[in-house]
Amino acid sequence: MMQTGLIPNAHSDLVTDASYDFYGLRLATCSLDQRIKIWRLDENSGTWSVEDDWKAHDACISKVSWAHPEFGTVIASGSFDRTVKVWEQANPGDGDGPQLNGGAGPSSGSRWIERAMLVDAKGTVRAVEFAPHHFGLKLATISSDNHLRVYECLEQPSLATWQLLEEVDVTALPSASAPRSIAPTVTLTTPTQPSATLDGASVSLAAHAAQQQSQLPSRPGLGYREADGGWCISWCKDRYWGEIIAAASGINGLVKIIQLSAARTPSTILTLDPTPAPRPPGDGAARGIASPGDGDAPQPYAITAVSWAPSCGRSYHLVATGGRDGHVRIWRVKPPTLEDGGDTDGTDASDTRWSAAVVADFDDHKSGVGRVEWNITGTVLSSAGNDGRVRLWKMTAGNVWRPAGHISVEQAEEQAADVDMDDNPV
Amino acid sequence: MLLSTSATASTRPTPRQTTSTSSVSAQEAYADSRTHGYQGPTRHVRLPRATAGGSAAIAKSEDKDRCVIAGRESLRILRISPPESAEAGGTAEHRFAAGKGGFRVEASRNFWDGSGLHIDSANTDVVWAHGIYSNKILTSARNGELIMWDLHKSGPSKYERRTRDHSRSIHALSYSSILEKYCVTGSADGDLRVWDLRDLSKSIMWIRHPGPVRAVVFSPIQGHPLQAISALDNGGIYRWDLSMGQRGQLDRILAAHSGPILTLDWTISSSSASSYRTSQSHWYGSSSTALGLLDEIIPGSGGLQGATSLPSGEVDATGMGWLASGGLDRCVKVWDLTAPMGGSHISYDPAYTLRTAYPVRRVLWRPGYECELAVVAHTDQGVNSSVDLHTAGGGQLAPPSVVTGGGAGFMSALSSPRIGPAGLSIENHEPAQTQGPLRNDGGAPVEIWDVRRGFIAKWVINDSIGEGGVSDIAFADSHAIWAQHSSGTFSQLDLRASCKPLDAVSSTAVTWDPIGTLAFVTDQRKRWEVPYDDVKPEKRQVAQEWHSVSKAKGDPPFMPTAQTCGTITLDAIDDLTAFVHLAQNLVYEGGDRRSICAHNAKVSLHAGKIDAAQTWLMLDNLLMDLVADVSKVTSPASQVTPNLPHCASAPAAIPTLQTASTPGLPQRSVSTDTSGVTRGQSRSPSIFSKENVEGSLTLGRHSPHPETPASSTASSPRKSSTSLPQFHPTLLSRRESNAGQSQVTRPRLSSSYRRPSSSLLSSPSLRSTHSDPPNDGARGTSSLKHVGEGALDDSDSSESEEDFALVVPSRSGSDDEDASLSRSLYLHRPNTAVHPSPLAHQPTWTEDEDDNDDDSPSPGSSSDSDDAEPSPKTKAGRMRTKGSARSRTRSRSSTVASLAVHAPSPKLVRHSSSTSIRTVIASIAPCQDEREGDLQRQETVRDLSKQPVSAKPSPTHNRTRSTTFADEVKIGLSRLKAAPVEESASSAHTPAACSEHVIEVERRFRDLGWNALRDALEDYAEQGDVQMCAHLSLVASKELKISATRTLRFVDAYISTLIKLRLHTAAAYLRKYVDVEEIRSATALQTTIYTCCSRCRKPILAPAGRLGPSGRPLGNYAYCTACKSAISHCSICRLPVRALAFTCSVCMHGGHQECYRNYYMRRPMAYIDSGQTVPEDRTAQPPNPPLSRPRGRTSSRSGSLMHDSDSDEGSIPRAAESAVSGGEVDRPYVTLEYSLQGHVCAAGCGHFCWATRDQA
Repeated sequence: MMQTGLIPNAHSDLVTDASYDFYGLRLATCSLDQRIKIWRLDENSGTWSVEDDWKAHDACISKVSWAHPEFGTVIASGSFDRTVKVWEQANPGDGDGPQLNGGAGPSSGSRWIERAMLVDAKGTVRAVEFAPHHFGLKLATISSDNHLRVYECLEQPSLATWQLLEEVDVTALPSASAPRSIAPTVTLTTPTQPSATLDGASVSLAAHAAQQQSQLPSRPGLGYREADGGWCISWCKDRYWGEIIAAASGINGLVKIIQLSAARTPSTILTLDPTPAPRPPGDGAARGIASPGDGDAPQPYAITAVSWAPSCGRSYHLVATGGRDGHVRIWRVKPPTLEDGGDTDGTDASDTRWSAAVVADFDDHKSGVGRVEWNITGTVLSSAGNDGRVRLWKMTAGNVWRPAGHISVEQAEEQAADVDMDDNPV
Repeated sequence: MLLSTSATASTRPTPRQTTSTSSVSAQEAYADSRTHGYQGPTRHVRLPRATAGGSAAIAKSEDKDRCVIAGRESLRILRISPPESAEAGGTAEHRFAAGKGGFRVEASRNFWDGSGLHIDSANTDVVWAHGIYSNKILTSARNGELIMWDLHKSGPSKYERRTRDHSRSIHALSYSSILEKYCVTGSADGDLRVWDLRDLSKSIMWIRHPGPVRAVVFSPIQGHPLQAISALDNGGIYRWDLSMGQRGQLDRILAAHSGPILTLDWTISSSSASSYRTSQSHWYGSSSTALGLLDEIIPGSGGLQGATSLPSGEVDATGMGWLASGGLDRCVKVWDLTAPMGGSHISYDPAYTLRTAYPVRRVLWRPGYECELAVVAHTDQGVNSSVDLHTAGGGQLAPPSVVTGGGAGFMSALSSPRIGPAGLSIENHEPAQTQGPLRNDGGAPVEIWDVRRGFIAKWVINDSIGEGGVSDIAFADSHAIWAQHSSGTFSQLDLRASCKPLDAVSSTAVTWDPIGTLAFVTDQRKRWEVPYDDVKPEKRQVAQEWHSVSKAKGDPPFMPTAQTCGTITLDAIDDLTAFVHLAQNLVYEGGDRRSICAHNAKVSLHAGKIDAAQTWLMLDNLLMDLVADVSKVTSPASQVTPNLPHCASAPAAIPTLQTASTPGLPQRSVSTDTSGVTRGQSRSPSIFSKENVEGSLTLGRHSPHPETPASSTASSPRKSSTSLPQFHPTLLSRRESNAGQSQVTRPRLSSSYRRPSSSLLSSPSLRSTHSDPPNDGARGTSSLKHVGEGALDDSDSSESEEDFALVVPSRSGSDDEDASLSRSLYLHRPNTAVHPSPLAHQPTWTEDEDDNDDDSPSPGSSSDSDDAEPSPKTKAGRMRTKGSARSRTRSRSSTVASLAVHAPSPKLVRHSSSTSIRTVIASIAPCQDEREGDLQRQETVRDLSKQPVSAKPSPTHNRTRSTTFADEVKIGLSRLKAAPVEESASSAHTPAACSEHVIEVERRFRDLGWNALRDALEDYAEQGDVQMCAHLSLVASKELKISATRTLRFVDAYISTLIKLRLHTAAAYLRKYVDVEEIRSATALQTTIYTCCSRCRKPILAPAGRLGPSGRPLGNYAYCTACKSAISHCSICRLPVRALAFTCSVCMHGGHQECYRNYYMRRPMAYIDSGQTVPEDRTAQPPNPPLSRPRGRTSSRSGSLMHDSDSDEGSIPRAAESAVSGGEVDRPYVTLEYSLQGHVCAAGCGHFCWATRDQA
């Protein structure tokens, strides 16, 4: 019943990301070897074949993202060379476009043309993601300088001009002043990195270099000293609440949900803090400061993956996070009732806030979680960890999330790991 | 000579010192190389303003404590000392700095000051001589001068002399630590000059290159000290035998790099070193002879020398070591010179290529670590004018980069987002050059690379960033680096503070495609994988003994092995086929809502989604108007009242009698006939019971009869059942299957046992078995009704409910479709049944009847019709009624037990019928419950016994559904029990009151129903079934209390899913009729109508506002005022087209819609060669409606999914099944073949103006 297809030796070094296009017809992979490959499944043989393959960056490519097909066949790639590039597949017919990546492609003739290069990042770009198409052709990036940047394409046909709409330091981002943004479980934005202040990127870089040095002895057992900086982003897939991004940065284990709007500066509307809920809001900050030296304080860790589930009309959102602490967490985020929510129950004033609660917390991976991703209906969560497994999670009766199997590297086949799914009291 | 040799050995220590003899396991042998070596406090020290800033060069002294820093206009000696050797503090001339770990850096004063040198002589490179010349320092100058400094010189200035042989800037300076008295310079003028320290007045030899020399390195090979390698601006690498001068070219690699090469480093390989050591003594002689030759020849003849100078015959196997080169092309290449020499050349292909993210300024082999290289990025100094220090001589590549670098610096300095685009546009022209300059923020860190891992550094020394980049480095030892930053700061970097860049690389990924295929990348990183397979120095010997393999240059490059990429197809959208089917067939508009529901239920059944079908049926029921019922109810109630006792016990019985007696109604007569036959059989064992049952069946049919007016009336209005007949074929198949299941599932009977009523239920099924299938259906329904009624009649609602519950499962088992349908219909019933005490039940009756009517007519009528036909399928319907509503809500959790019930039911029928009678009786008595329970149990037992006979084994099972029912039933029962019982008791006796009660109760139950449906909706939403949610919210958003926004969200999500699955027509259908502005507007907004004349291309100016009486334009746009003619003529009738025209998009011919319709309708469709269209699909296009949609994609997927879905065969033939059933799935992906049919353009251009899909 399971169909599997393996791609052997996809790249000449580690593959860092894989992404299906909108229709699921093609798969883009990027790798440490600085190349992007586009694969297409041969449905008869079940094998994947390379459709395109080109050297895209000068360093490890961290992520690729497909734009909605209404903008053409466009992908964006973020790289450790601190750039984000936008690529468009050239139609076989038109040889017009200036080949910006001249000579980079193989002789077969790369059909992908570099349309733009975004160089604002001052650190390695760790994640790029196109916004839901309702918002136009926008691209969000986050880099290890802690900055979330949002670009908008000004000339869609040429894809050449991208305007930097927002540039915010996620770590230093204050929450919105409006009271509505503070939800019960929200901690105020936590100045988690005391030394990483807001006086500019180079300072903070220097600072955190110094900090790293100073922290070297005080972070035992944490093999990840490069865990600082921005890690991951995920757009809210729905358009009804405006442009909202979940972003994780630094080693504080927090995910910030950031609202973007043209009129105001971006603001944090919610912070997902996995520490025990009863903490008073101010406590999170204290924890962030105290943790390096504190013996019993939780180890700092980075949230390396965040994924916002398509809400599909549910009354709540699901946001999954995966961190280097090995935990996969699922947050149930309750958005404010929409203004025109009308007849149901939208009259309550308290509904104007965002709130969130952890509904699942798994540490089955026992090692860092590299990626979490939802299926398109937001009902199955997959997480990939450094234990070499992809694990699946599913909600069962009573809103209980349970493992729904895993895919292990060796066999790459699903084992029926379903755990007593039926015995839940109704 | 001896001295020099030892010096060489010390500066490049061979890694294989062995100290420990303890045995170490292979795993233990590995250790993080950050834990090797020095373990004291951090050695990090930073001394600001060692130079004035800008690029500077470092040269290490022989004693390893000191180094010289040559900045642009500075020359300082720095001394780095560990903590214990603290000395007096700095003076005016000696500045110092101490690090956290206590390490100190002391700086001498700047020897440049007072030397009398000018900016023209600004330093470009520096070397510190060894041996007897260890007091000599040589610097090269921008103006081509070679300057010597003597540290022993007394007085304020250490400057000794300078010589200028180069006409342009000297780029590189290299000193032979073996020969000690020679150094070479490479200049922008293309010359390589060899100098003798003893006499600097003139270079002793020069070699001309075709381009500026960027880097030069003297041979570190003891055996061949008189070689040098130079690298040029044009990317070429040359190896020279210096003893032969210009003719001594040993190697030439023309395009080693694609850009200027900035640095070279040449090392001996460990193997060569070790082997060399053995032959050391031997080589001394030889090298000295070589030296002698050089000595003799060079001064005199300027480098002419015979071929005899090199003892080429004595080449050893150690080779010439390894060369690393780095350049502006962002590559470090490692060249293997170890090939047994004898005139063999360097391979044109590098042994390794490291692809750095930046242009490389400096590479340096790390001492003590065989495969490692320190790499320094070439970071421009941005606005700093010192850039030209390195580029003045002639990098033609430099100027643009400087310019853009400045621009970028400006941008970043302002950090104004708005300037970004402008800067971008500049850079887009020169992507290759601009990137380096762009990162002038903090500079790139020094990185340590392992040659075997060509794409990522092994270590990154983060401490090295933040000072504007590093301009030069030197290894203090294996674990510390001296770095000179462009800010002027000098620092000693502790390599223990480095970090693994690999840790920041995510090596896992998962991504979902719309149909639930998961593509994943997994990696299980091994701790000691290739770049990190470091062995503690003390354990190296041991480790080698354990596993002979130890890393060394020459090992093959790393390939990841632990990582896996693949895809796996999970059925996330549980059944894609069903989804597609539903997407294409569900409706939400047109006709009244009940018919929509019925249609959708049917479609859902077809798709095998019983849950959905139930929900639709339930919705259908809930949408029924109750007003009419009330009136009817009252009237029948009165009539019934006399019968009340009977009714309670066997309300159905009466109708049954009637039915039997009055076959007069034609519609029903058919049913009755069949039923009659069956009855006859059934009756024999237990007349009443069967009759009752049948009566219930008949109720539907008979309802029209005068005796039970209510029923009749009720039945007539609602004929949702009409839809049923269509299902029959499928129903039949399912029944069988169900029967098979039932047998299989017998154990579940136990569950059925719990509910005595189940037996009752079973009875109808039994009949069905006996009688013709259609009859069965009818009976089943009737019996069900009876049961329900009986239950109702029975004092306890709970029991009645139970009965229902039982019934439900049995039926469901028999035929899913009918069952689901009927259930939905019955939903009301259970409620009704529950409420009414005797009085109530009549009203309930009415309800029931209504239900019954619906049911009965539907099952009965359908069955009748069917009966006439071979397929009797309606049986199943009844059971669901009660349970269904509730069941749907909780359907998922359904218990298996219900299934069992079904199976037994068919056999039991007769008994059950009897039992039903009994139950009726029991109902009369207060104790009924118990009795019934007993009776029922008995029946159930019987059922079991009989099952084997009756049941027809069918391979496919619809367990889920049945199970769901059972649960539902339970739930429903529990709910019902509470409220209605009381009412029934109290209200029983007054008809009027009872009607009100009935209404009230009805309302309540209806609310219950709606609530259940709402729950179901929420459940669907939770499950991500946007299809169901969207349609439900479109059909009954008001009743379900779905806000407009939520409807929008559902529909939006659904549409996006459809589009992802490329079901564009389904999406378009939604967009077209959905009553949500945001969604409709998508179509409206993006539809463009051109109003310009196709002939003259001028806009058509139509008088505004001239609309015809109908509101449509009068054809003003069909006439071009410029051309004075009609814009288009119909190519068929040749008359002008004044309204909407149909046009071929290729040849632009077209005409009246009517003409074209007539034309096309009469022509057969032509098959289109799908070969053309398929590839089109692949290029991802925005939705293009009909053609692309069906394509191989979805179909193939569906095909693949098919075999696991136990869906009863659809009407759709599936290619996949055959393959699967064959047992061997040789092709993992099965593709369904679709063929396209179309109409060719009427004008003959060959375009298929109309196309549609046809399944082959």
